[in-house]
This record gives sequence, C-alpha cells and structure tokens, in this order.
Amino acid sequence: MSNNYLDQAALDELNEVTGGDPEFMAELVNTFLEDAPVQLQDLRAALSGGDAGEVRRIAHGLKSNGMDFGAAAFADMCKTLEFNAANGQLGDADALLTDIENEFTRVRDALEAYVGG
Amino acid sequence: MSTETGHILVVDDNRMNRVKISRSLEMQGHTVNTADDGQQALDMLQDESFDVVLLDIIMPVMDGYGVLEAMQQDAELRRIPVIVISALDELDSAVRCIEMGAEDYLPKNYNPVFLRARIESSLRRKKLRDLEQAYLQQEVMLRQSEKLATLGRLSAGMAHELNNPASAALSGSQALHTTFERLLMHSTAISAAGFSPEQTAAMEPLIATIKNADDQSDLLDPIERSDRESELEIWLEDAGVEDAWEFTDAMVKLGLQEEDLQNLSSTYNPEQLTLVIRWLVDASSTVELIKVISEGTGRISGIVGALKTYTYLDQAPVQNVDIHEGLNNTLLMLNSRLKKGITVHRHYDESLPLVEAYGSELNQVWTNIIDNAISAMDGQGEIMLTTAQENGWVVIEIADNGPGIPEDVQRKIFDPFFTTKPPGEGTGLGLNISHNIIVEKHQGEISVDSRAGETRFQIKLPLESAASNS
Repeated sequence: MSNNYLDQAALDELNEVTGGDPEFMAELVNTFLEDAPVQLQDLRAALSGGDAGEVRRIAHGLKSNGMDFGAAAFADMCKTLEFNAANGQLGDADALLTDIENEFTRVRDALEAYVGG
Repeated sequence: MSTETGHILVVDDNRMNRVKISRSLEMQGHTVNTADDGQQALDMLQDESFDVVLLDIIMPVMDGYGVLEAMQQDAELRRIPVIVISALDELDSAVRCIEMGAEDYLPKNYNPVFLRARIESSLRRKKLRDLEQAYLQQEVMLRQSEKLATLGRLSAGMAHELNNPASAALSGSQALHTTFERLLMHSTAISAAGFSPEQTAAMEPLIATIKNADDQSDLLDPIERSDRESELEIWLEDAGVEDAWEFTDAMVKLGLQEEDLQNLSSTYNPEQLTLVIRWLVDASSTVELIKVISEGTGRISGIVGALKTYTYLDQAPVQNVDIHEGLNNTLLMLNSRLKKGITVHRHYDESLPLVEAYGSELNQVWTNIIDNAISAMDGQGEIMLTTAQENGWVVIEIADNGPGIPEDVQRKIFDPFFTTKPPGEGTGLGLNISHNIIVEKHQGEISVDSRAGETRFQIKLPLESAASNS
C-alpha cells in the first residue's frame, strides 16, 4: 500500500517501533484522526487570538505526528508554521493554516485507506 | 541482552506521541504512565516512584524546562534520570535541557534499538544512584546510632552524677518534715510555759548561734569532740535535763560549751532549760537540712547547666567557641568515669582566643577521645589536656599515660568501622566521626602519636574560621 500523501518507509518504521501490530497501528491512526481536527481548530483560535506560543506548540505536535506517518507535505507545512510562530512572524499564517487544513483532509483519506486496506 | 525494565513516566502534550512512545516502551517490558503536561508530571512524580522520565519540551501549563528545574530542586526527584524527547531540528533545546540536568535526549523518530539503549543506560544510572542513596542512608543511620551510643554512655554517667545530690536533697526534705513538726511542737510548748520577757530575750543570741553555725565540730579532732560532748552531757544531767545525750552532738556542732550553759541555767529553770535546748537543737537541724537540700539542688542545677552548655542547646550551630569551656564541660560530663581513678591535668593557654566553630560537634570529638583514653587506661591513670596557639592555629592536645596504641592499629584508627572493642561495644565510628568533624567541617587537622605509656591526640583548628564557610 502506498500513495502520494504517506511515505511507506516512514509507515514501516512506525510499525516496527510499535511492534508490527496492525490493530495498534489502527488505534494510533484513529488517535491522530480524532485529535488532529480538534488541534486544527485550536490552532485557528490561537491564531486569531494572536497567541504565537500556542500556535507554535500545536503546530509542533502536529508536525511530529505528520512525520511519524510519513505525511511529508503536511509535516513540512506544520514545521513552517511552528518556525514562523517561534519567530513571531504570523503574517501569512492564516493562508498557511488553510493549506494545512486542506492537506490534512488528504492525509486523513490516505490514512483511512491505509488502515482500512 | 539484559532485560532491565523499569517504571517510566512519559510526559508529552500530544496524545499520539504518548500512545506511540508508551507502546514502544511497553513492548520492551517497561511499565509506563503518562502525563499531559509538566504540572501533572510533577504531581505524579510526588505520588509514585519512577525510574526514568521521558520528557517533551514544549507543553502547555508547564513546559519541560519547568519540570527539570523543579526536579533539580527536589533531593528525591533529582536522582531520576530524565530523557528529553527532541526532534533533530531542536537540538539547541535538548542541549539546554541537558545543561539543566537532563541525562540524554531521544529523537522523535527513534528506532527500537536506539530507544532500548537510551532507556537501559538511564535505568542503570538510576539503579546506581538508588544503591548509593541506600548506602548513604545506612551510613547516616550508623552515624546517628554512634551519636546515640555516646549520648547513652554520657547519660548513664549523668544519671549517676545526678543521683547523689538528688537523693541527698530527697532524704533531706523527708527529714526536714519531721524536724519541722517537732520544732512547731517546741514552739507551742515554749509559748505555754509563759517565759518572762528576759527569758524570751535570752533566746535571741541562741538564734544568732544557729544562723552563724558552720559545723564547728569539724575544727575539732575526734577526741576533743567527744570530750566536749561528755562535758556537756554531765553538766546537763547535773542540771536536771533529761535525755541529755540526745542533744550533745548537735550542741557541739553549734559550738556551745559549758560556760554557755552556765549562763542559760541562770535564766531558765531545769524544765525550761530542757525546752529551750530541745528547741535549739531542732531549729539548728532544720537550718542544716535546708542547707543540705539547697546544696543538692544547686549541684543538680549546675550539672543541668553544664549539660546545656555541653550540647549547645538552643544555640546556633556555628559560633565563637571557648575551647577550654568545651573541654571542661566534657570532663564534667565524663566525671562519673573519671573520678574512679583518673587524674586530669590541665595546661591551658589562658590567652587562647575564641574559635568560630561547631561547638557541640567539637565536644563530641573531645568526648570520643577522652572516653577512649579512659577505656584504654582501664579507669586508672592520668590525662593531660594542653592548649596552645601556633602560627594561626589553635592546638589542643589530649594525652594519656595508658598502654599505647599498637602501630598497625594507629594507621587504621580514623577509618570508618574500625574498632578494637568487642562486637556490640563500639560502632567503629567514634574517631572516624571525630576526624570528619575536625578535617571536613573545620578544615583542621587531627593526628595521633602513641607509644607504651603515652598516647597523644593532637587537634589543630584554624584561627581564621573555616567553619563559617563550609
């Protein structure tokens, strides 16, 4: 199983680290799919509230989750947002967050296909 | 491969991270708990014991730095190794954490071998620290028990010292009770006898005699004393006073002689004279008993005072210490052991300045050394205390003329747990503790020089205090 949004090598590594148990992988994916939408909402709220620290923290978490699943584009965008927030540059953050949200829907579909398949 | 497993706390605000890391650790056999933020982690660390903490840095409420800082300030938590979870692009933060006391870092995209290695090395470190801590605790307990043993020996001595004046005061007060009752009866009898004004007035000088009476009979030799007693007895019997032998001893003590009685017999008839003499004798015993009680209680209060000074009770640990006072108080504490056959010579340099020091701990040193000397001499011999000043040092020497310490023993004498006493009698820590008190707490020196017939401990304390700096 492979697709454009998830890197198979990263998924294999995650599988190895967590014991190669498909059930657990499904649990992990579900955890992410449950939490990420909430975090994206929190991110939006933090952004409109101008809370750079909170933007940085949430983007940081999403980035590392994205990397774990090999969602490279998603992780990169989160990383850019994290970096900008850490430097207080939230000028284009709204647009970037919209990109992240759009990318997340693709990652979600890919992950659902991955655990469902 | 060894399978060392432990209780691990994973602290991360991101649930997926927590789930993933917990899973990895559980697969390697560890028990895992998780916390969502720094504050929750600290709460859990207070409640439960963990072997390793895996710590994310960026978290809400309290971040990883906050957790590290709080853990470093806690003597217990400081011993738990912390591994910082860190992405490769945030190594700066990981370095900062390591500077703050974290042991290691775990990259976010770790592999199982890497994780295993990191955790195992931290678990080993934790185990070593636990062992070290257990050892230190045991040592503290042993040192405490040595202190208690010394205290026990001292209090046994003190109990003995206190016992004599206490029983003197007690039996004195019991005797006072009867004497005082008799005295009241005499007074009633005298009032009933209806003395003339001259007769009443004649009692005044007798009261003065009682007041001034320092036992006069001590000045007399036994023969003189018994001569006076029989002289008085014969006179009193001739004058018609009954049971005269009962009073003569007390009368001689008051310094009364035949001529005093002659004078009295011109004032009182024999019956009245008997009354007056009975009153006089009991009044004087009353005064004497009060003196006994006050001497006994005074002695008790003196011992308690010395004990208070010896322990530096209610005083700051470091202060300006009078070395001589400390030595003298120590001798007082050991008096019950010393007085059985040990002569103490003191050669004090009276110009010795006060030394800034831990007074009560110095007394522990003097006690250990003098107590050892007494044991070595088997309670018979001489102890010489010498103090002097020498190029910025205060030098204290404690010497005895006992059998000496064999050379092979001398080398080990300050080692912990070394003792020549039979099992159960010495902890082997007395001189080791003394050594630590002098060398570590006061930056001083302690040495021993011993041959048959002379053992000399020399203690040097710096005049420029070091106690206050340590």
